[in-house]
Amino acid sequence: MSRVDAVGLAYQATFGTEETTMEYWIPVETADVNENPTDLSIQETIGNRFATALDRGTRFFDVPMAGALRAVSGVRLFSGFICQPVAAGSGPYTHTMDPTVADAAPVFHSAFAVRNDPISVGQDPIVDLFYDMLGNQLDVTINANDYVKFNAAWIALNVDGDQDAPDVTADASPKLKFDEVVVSTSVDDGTSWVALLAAAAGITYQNNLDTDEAVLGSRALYALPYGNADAQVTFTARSDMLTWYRAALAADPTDVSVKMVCTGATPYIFSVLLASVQEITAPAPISGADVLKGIDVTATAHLDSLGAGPNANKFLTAVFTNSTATYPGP
Amino acid sequence: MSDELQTEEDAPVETGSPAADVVESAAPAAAAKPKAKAPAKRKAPAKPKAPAKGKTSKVKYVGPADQQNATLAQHGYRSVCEPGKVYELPVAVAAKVVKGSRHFEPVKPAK
Repeated sequence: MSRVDAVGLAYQATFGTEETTMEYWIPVETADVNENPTDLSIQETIGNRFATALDRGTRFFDVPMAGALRAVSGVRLFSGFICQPVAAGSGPYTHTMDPTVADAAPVFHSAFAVRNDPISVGQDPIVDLFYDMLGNQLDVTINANDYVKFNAAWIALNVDGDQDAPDVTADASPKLKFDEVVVSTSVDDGTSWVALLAAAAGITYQNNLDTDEAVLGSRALYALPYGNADAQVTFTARSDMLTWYRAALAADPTDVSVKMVCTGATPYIFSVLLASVQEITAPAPISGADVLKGIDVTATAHLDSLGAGPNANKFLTAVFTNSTATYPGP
Repeated sequence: MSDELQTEEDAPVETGSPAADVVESAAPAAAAKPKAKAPAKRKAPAKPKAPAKGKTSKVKYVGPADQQNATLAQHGYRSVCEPGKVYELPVAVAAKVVKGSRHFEPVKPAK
C-alpha cells in the first residue's frame, strides 16, 4: 500500500537556514508531528472567576518517523543521529558512520512533512518544512517475517509553514528484510565472530539532545546541543541460552561485541556494530503455558576503551553499502 | 479489422506496403472497383502532439538509482529515474521537479 503523503530529508548546511530542496524522500509508515509549547499562565485577581487568556512561550517540534529501512536514504537518515558518513570504494560505495572519529557529530537536517490527502477533498495540502533538526533517538528493530524497521525521533527547532507541496522523488530501493539479517557476537573484541541464532534484534542510539535552551528575546531555542551518547542492544537468543542467562547474573559484567549485518539485494548492505556491550538482563521465565524457546537479552554499550582488537576505542559503527558515491555534508 | 488498420500510423499505405496489401485482401469487394485508392485517402490517426518548442525544459537526473518520481511517470517516462538521463518536461513541471529534489538539475539549452 502506498500513500500520497511524503516525508523528505536533506542535509542542512547552515544552522538557521532551511533547505527547501530535499535529497531523499523517505517512505515512512508514520510521521506524527508534535509541538511542545510552553504555556505562560498566571493567577491574577481581576474581579471575576473566569479564566483569562493564555500566552505561549518557547516551543520545539518532535518529528518522529517510522518505516522500513532502505540502504540509499538510510544513510541520510542516520547522519542526523550519528554523524556525517565517510565514503569509500568506487562503486559500490561504503558509507561509514563512526561517532568516535574526531569531530564526528550528528549533522543538522531539514525535513518536509507533506500531507497531500486533503487535496482529494478539495482542500490545500498541509505542508511543514522543519529545519534546525537533529536526531534524538534512533531505533532499528528486526523481527521475523518483517522488514528492518527504523523509528527515528527527531527534534526540530523551527518550522516553515509557507512552503508549497514539492515534487516527490521517493526512494524505491529495496527494503531490507529479516531473512537477510545475521546477528553475530565476538568475545575477542571483534577479531572473530560467531553467528547467533536470534529471533529478533534491536538497537537504540540516543543523543540525549538538550532542549532546555530558552533565551530572552526569542521563542525559538537558540541551540540544540547533543548530550552524551547512549546505545543499547536487545536480541532474542535461541542459541547458547544458558550462557546468556549466566552472563547476565555474573558478579562482574562480561564484555562482548555485537553486530548485525543485513545483506540485501546487490549492492545493498547495512550493518551496525556495537564495539562492547555488557548484559544487564537476560531473564529465563518459567511458564506452564509457554515453551522457553529464547531468552531476551538486553545489553548496554560502552566505549571500548580497554579493547585490543579491531573494535578498540570504538562505540557504535554503522555502515551502508550502496551505489551512491557521496552524500552532501560538512 | 478496420480499427486495427487505423492504428498502423507508421505504415505508408500508398506505397504498397504489407499493410496496404492487407487492406486489399481483406476487402475484395472494394479491390474489384477501380477506386481501390480509397484506403490511401484514409488519414493516419493523430499522433500525440509534440510539445511546442520553447515550452519545454530539460532536466537531468543526477541522483542514485532506485529513486521513483511520480511526476515523470505522469509525463510518459518510466517512474524509476535513470541516472544521467535527460528528461524533457513542460517548463512548469520541470521547475517543480527540480525544486522538489536535489537530484534533478536543469539542463541549459545549447546555443
